[in-house]
This record gives sequence, C-alpha cells and structure tokens, in this order.
Amino acid sequence: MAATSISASVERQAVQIEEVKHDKTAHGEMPFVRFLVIGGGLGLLSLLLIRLWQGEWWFPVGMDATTPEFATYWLGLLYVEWIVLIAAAIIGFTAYRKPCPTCAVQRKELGRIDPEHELNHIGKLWATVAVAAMFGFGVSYFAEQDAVWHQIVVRDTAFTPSHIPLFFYTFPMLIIMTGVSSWYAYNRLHHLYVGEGGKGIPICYLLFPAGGWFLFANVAFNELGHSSWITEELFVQPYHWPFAWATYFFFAGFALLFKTVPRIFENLGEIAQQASTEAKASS
Amino acid sequence: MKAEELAVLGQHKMAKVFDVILLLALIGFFTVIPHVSRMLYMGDWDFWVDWKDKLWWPIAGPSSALLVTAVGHYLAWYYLRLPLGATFTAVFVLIGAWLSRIFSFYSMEYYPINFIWPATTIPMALALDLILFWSRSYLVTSLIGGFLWGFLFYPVNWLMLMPFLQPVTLFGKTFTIADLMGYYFIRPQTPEYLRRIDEGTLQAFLGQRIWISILMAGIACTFMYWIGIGLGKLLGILPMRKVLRQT
Amino acid sequence: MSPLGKACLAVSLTCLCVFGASFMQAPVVHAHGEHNLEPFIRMRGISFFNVEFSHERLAVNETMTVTGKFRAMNSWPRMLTTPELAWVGVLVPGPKLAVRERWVNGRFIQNAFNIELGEIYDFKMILQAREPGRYHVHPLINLSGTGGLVGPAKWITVVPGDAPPSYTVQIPATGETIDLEHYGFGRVVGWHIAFGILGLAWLVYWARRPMLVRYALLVNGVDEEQITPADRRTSLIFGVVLVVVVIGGLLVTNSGRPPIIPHQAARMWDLSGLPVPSAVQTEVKELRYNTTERSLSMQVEATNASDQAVVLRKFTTSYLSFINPATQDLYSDLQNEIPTMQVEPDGLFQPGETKMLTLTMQDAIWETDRFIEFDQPQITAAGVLVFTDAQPLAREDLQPMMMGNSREGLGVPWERISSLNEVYSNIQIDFGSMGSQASL
Repeated sequence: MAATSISASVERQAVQIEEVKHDKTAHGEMPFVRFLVIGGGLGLLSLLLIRLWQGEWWFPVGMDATTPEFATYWLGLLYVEWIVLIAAAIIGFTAYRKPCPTCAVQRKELGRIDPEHELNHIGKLWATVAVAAMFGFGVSYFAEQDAVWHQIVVRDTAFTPSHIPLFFYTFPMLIIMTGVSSWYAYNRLHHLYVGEGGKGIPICYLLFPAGGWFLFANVAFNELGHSSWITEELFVQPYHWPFAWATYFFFAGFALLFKTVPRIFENLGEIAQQASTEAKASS
Repeated sequence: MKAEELAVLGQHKMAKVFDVILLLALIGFFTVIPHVSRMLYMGDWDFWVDWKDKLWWPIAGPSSALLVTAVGHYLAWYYLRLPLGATFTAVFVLIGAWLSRIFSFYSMEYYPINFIWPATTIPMALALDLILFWSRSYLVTSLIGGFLWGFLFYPVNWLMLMPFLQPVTLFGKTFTIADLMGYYFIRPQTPEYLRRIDEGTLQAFLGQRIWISILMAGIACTFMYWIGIGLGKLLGILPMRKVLRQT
Repeated sequence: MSPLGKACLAVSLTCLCVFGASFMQAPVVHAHGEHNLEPFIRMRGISFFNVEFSHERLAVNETMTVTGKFRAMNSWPRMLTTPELAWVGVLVPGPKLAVRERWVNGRFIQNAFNIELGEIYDFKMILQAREPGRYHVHPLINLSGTGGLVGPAKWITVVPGDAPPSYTVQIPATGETIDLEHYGFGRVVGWHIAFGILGLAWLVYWARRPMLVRYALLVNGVDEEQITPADRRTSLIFGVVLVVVVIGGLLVTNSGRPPIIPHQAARMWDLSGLPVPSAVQTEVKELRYNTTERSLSMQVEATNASDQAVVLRKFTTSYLSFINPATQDLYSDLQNEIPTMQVEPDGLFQPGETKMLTLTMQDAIWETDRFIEFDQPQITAAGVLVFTDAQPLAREDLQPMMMGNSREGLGVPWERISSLNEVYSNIQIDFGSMGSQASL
C-alpha cells in the first residue's frame, strides 16, 4: 500500500516536472502586471477611502482624542488599518516564504531557469517596488496634510486624523512592501545578486526596508521632541528631519531594481532567439 | 550582446512594460522623498506666503530642495544616461505639493490658494540637467548649475511673490499684502511670532540684503549638490555591489 | 495566491466595506480638542475673564466682536519656557472665520506682543465669517515656547450670505482695491503652469524613448553614443526658451512694478498690563480633591484690605467658572446650568475683615475634561478668585458673557470687580473608597 502510494507520488511528480520544464502557459503573458494592477489598485483604493473618510469625519469627530466618537470613528479606522496591515504582511511574507518550486525543478532538470519564467519573477519584484512607491505617494500626501491639521486643534496628539493614516498605515505599509520586495528578491532572484550558488546578503535587501523602519521609528522621537523640547508646531524643527533622512533609504530600491536590468535583456534576447529559431523551424 | 540587438530588444513589449513600472516607482519615490524633505526642511516657508521672506527662505529653500533633486539628477544620469533626473524630481515634488495644498489646505480647511502656494524649482532643475548634459561634468554642474540653483531660487519665485509684497496700511500700521493674509487667515498653531523671517540685520551689501541671501544660497548649493551626489552614490548605487558575506 | 492569502484578502475587503458602510451614521458633536492639553498648563497658564461674543449667528462676510480679558498666571509651570511673546487669535477649524482686527489693551496689534506673567490684558477681535457652518469658537492666546491656550468657546453658526467671502483692501501706492481671497492667484498659477509645461516637455522628450535598455547598453560599453545630435539641438532650444522665459519674466515683472517692502516683523515690546484689582489679600492653605465625590475644595485665608465691602463672586480657571450662589442677593442672574460652588462662611467681607474660606466645587468636569489628572508628576491646581464690590446690580446692568465652555450667562462688568487673587497649590488627594476610578 505504502509502496503504491510512493510510486504514484513519484509518477505524479515526474508528470509535474515535465509540465514545468515545458511550461508555456505563461507564454507572452505577464502575470506580474496582474500583480501590479491588483496590488497597486487595492493600495490606491485604501488611500482614497481614507481620504474620503477624513473628508467626512475630520471636523465633526476628529478633534478630541478623548471622546467616544473619536474612538468609534478614528480608532475604528486605526483598527481596520491594522487588520489590513497584518493581512498584507501575512500574504506578502507567507506567499514567498520558500524558493520557487518551478525554479528548483528547472534548475535541476534544465540546468538553468527558463528565461520567461525568470522574467516574470523579475517583473514581480519590480511590481512590489512600484506598489511600495505608491504608498510612498501616500506618505507624501498625508505628511504634508499633518501640517494643516495642526491649524485646527488646540494641541496635536499621537493619534489624530492625519497621524492615523500617516504613522499607523502608510509608514508600516512601506515597511511591509519594501520588506516584501527584499524578501521576494531573496527567495526568488537571489542568484542575480550574489551569483549562482553564491551566499551572502546584498545590503540593498536591508537598506530598502530600513527607510520605512526608520520613518516609523522616528515617530517615537518626534513625539518625545514635541512633548519635551519644542512644544510648538514648527514644521521645520530639527526632530522632524530624521523623517526626511529615513526616506533617503528608499534610494536603495533603485539599486535593487537596476541589479536585475542586464538579466532582463539577456532573457529577452534568449526569448527572441528562441522565437526566431521556432519560426525558422516551422517555415 | 551587441548594441544593435539590445537596441532592438528595448522595443520589446516586455521591455516597455518594465519601463512603465520603473516610471511608476520613480514617480512614487521621487515624489515622497523630495516632498518629505521639502516639507520638513523648508515647510513653513513653503506653505505660507507671509513666511516667504528674503533672508531665510532664499537660503533654506533652495539648499534643502537641491539635496534630493541632485540625487535624482545623478541617478538618472548614472543609470540611464538621461539628463532628466532633476527636472523629474522638481516636477513631481511640485505635483505632490499641489495635491496637498488643494486637497488638504484648501478643500479641507479652506485656506485661500493664493496664501498657500508652493515654490517652484523647475527652471533651476532644467538648468541643472542642461548644464550636466552640455558639460558632462559633475564639477562644472556643481559650480555653475548648483550656483544657479541657489542664486535663481528667489528671483524665479519672486515672479509670483512680488505682488504680495506691496505695502498696505491698517490702523496706522504698514503690512505687506502677504502679512495681512497671515493676519486674516488664522493659523492657530503657527502664530505670528513663530515666523522665521528677516527681522532686520546690520550688514547690508550695497543696501540690498537680498543679494547676500541669494549669493549665500548659490554658494551653499554648490556644496549641497555634492552632498546629494554622495547620498545618491551611497544609497542608490553602492548597495548594488555590496554583499554581506556569510561566514 | 495561497488559500491563506485569499482568506486574509477577504477579511480585509470585508473590513473596508464595513468601514465604508458606516459613512451612513451621523455622530453627535461634542468636543473640540480642548482636553488634549495637559491640566497643569490649562490651569496654570492663562485665565480668562468676561469673555463676550457679540453674535451667535451671522452670514458670510458679516462681522462679529469677541472681547475679554486674560491673565498670564504667576503660577506658570516653570518646566515649560516662560513666555516672552504672545499672539492673540481664535481657534476655529481653519480660517472659517477670519480675524480682521486685533486689539490688546486698546492698542491695535500688528504682530506678536510682549507678555509678562501676572499681568492682565484686555483683548478685542473683529471676526469676519468666511464659510458657512457651525463652529466652536475659542479665543486663543499663543505663548512663545509653549503654544496655544484657549478660553471659553461659543457655538457660532455661519449661514451663506449674499456674496462669496471677500476681503478688500486698498493699495495706497497704486490706488488699486484688491480682494485678498483671490489676489495674485492668476499670476501664481500662470507661472506654475508655464514652468510646469517647460519641465514636462523636457521629461516627455526624454522619457518617451526606451529607458531601461539604456542601462543595459551602458553595461555593454555603449555610453554617450546613446545621445544623438538631435538631442543636443533640442537641449539648445530648451536652454534658450528657459533663459528667455526667466529673464524676460524678471524684466517684465520688474519694469513698472509698484513699490514693495519686506514682510513686517516689528513686535510690540511696550505693552503694559491693566491695573490688577487687588482689594483682597489671600493665602492658600490647602487644596484637596476628593475622587469619590469629584470635588475640589480649597481653604483660603482672605483679608479685605480695602475700605469697601466685597463679596467672593466666583472661581475661574482656564475656561471654567464656578459662581458663588450667595451672590444671588446682589445679582439675580444665576441660571440653572451655570456651575456653582459652596462657600463657607458665606456673606460679605467687611473692610479689614479676615476670614478662613472653604470653597467646594463638585463637578465631574474635573475628570471628564482632564483638569485633575493623577497620571502627572505635578498634581496641582490653580485658578483665580474673583471678588466684586458688593453693590447690587440690576439685571440689565449685567453683561452676557461666557460662564464656562459653551455656557453663556450674565456676569458682573469688569469695572465692578474689586480683586483678582491667584490661588495655586499642590493637591492633597482623597482617594476615597476602593471603588474610586482613580488610577496611579
């Protein structure tokens, strides 16, 4: 019984290997574009919803963090954001927690990764960076919004209608999305960064998510500074500057991306060559 | 691979898709990075017209704005040999700023737009890109382009600011129109005394303080350009090569 | 996507939908953020007196007056910077009402003014309605190094007027009458569009070509060969256009421009406070807070040093007032909703008389509005005792003024106040039974 099931499983595996080796289902298609559209679309939708929510509940219930209405409308939003964040983190990190099985099979059976398959991996990496960039756009909007929020309240607190999307949604989302980018690169495209069979961690994996992390970390410093040293809402005060320094780490994202560019064109070249060979053979 | 083959591959459908994704990533990051820098280094001067003075704004404004612009300028030339990085950064930081002014400052709190307009850096950014394109030298670009960046910031924005500097009188006191707007359109957490503006200095260059400011800004920007390039190199290029080896 | 991923996505989408659906509910409007300030700064920073709002309802472009007095307290919390400059305004959510005039001690205020602790200042502001809505309008005093402190607020309704908001002012040099709502807008937007088009044109010129392959080419040794003579020609055109636009713009703007001046930053350093009424001398013996009853009580030894009888009228702190009900014999003004305090012994202070007064103010507001908070390294309370001259006043001689946040009542005019005495002390706390809500 056991022997039968083992042989059946081996057989099934062999069939799968054949399928994977000659997998042409994705031929000419770009699954990473779908990823970009869905990921970016959901992200953009969430930012738009938050902005609509702000427009609706900014004045009536947003100004006093001690009231029950604030707890309902604004802490409610905060909890929804946290659920979305946790979901995004779980999806992002579990989906790519193991190296790609297709790549493993192709490496073993063909000695290399199919160019089209690898291109899709690169595309997906690029898509995660683009989605992270979109949350960056959110940071750009909500951060400046905070300057004008100050003009309507007696005093700012850590939880305000402008801080809730900024500190507790777009900042963590940037950590998650940039982290997913590095995680994806590590689990799918590590050979492009360290060479086939190479070991080590390229520092762009670490620097890219560090931006979001430092942004979030400076929230603590910022709140300490506001409560202790410069209590007035001068937007250009020195303990706001680390937020700007934190964003500079996002430049590492471009190192992460450009490292893959030569391979994109190598793969495209191979695909073009294959296509011309097939065309010649069929003619 | 031969250059001709590569050039053909650049036209490939998939290469174009990658170009679009790159553009999206560039738009996102080159909006947030310069915009956050702008709002935190020169924010209050940029937000309110009655902060746009002629001593601190002409220095703080361009030198802080140049930092990230120079990174964009450098990375675009380094990676793509395209002289568009500075202009790209200047255009998108302004789009980010305008979105915020319209959808936060105006539509949520009803500040008049003519009170909250951002400063432009596009002409200087274009000059920076052009000078690099013509000279192919970061040194020349820093000396000429960087200087022009700081030197032209105030004059270029003065084109918009000038009408707001006309004097008006109220109850025997003289205000500029911008002062009066700050007086009328209240800012509860940015009161008048918080304005970091020229309150009067002793030294004057031919009686014109503005020349001191913009010359100082020009000099500061020639250096700031190099800080930007260093930053771009350190965080945008070197990480591509550095690998922490596992022992 | 993995099943786990799908589940998470479904949960988040559901949350977003629920979140969206709750747009339908309408909340009750209560508070305004006054509580977010720490109790010590609200009680020991600025005390407000006789705050009056001339209107309750006005149309866009109509004006109203806010007047009152404030005292910078001697009990100022010294762990904060001692204020040097102050600015007066109102707190509304954004410039929904604009401040057209500010007057302090009868002088027109242009920029910030110097302030001294212990002094009393009289303020008057003329507000002009800008946008329809219902606003909680507080007088606001900004103090340098600390931030804004608010006085008692009133709900003001702004209704649409006949015309859009307008703030006209005449420029003396040109004789031109301008509207600050729109002045200069066309020029600002025009230049932004002009430079924006120039910048975008440059971007489009370069970015429409395949971009990434340029890096691949570069890696393969094709460097500046990627740039064509056409690119150089185009760059020259852009350069010429840029120079013409900037220099031309500067020349045109500069020629025939009106006289201009820098922003005016002169501050007022010679503003002295009003005379402080001081018929009574007081000494605080004890401040005590009972958590079970939520009552603040104080023992004060008071001596009438004047030659006239006086009466303790009220205790004022931040935007709160507690009226002595015994003054009803003199001023028949009290309405049910105005908070009162219990004063023992009651009655008039004859000249030269010394009394040990015990004041008890029982109100949940101490805790609901965070005036007494136990999670503080300095559990203190402060306020001002207001004594009046004990001359009866007819109802029509009393003035409508704010008797607490959002509460309006009739009050004694400023001229009839004989003494303002600051009280400040650490609080002795009676934590009461185990059922107390207090937390340490």
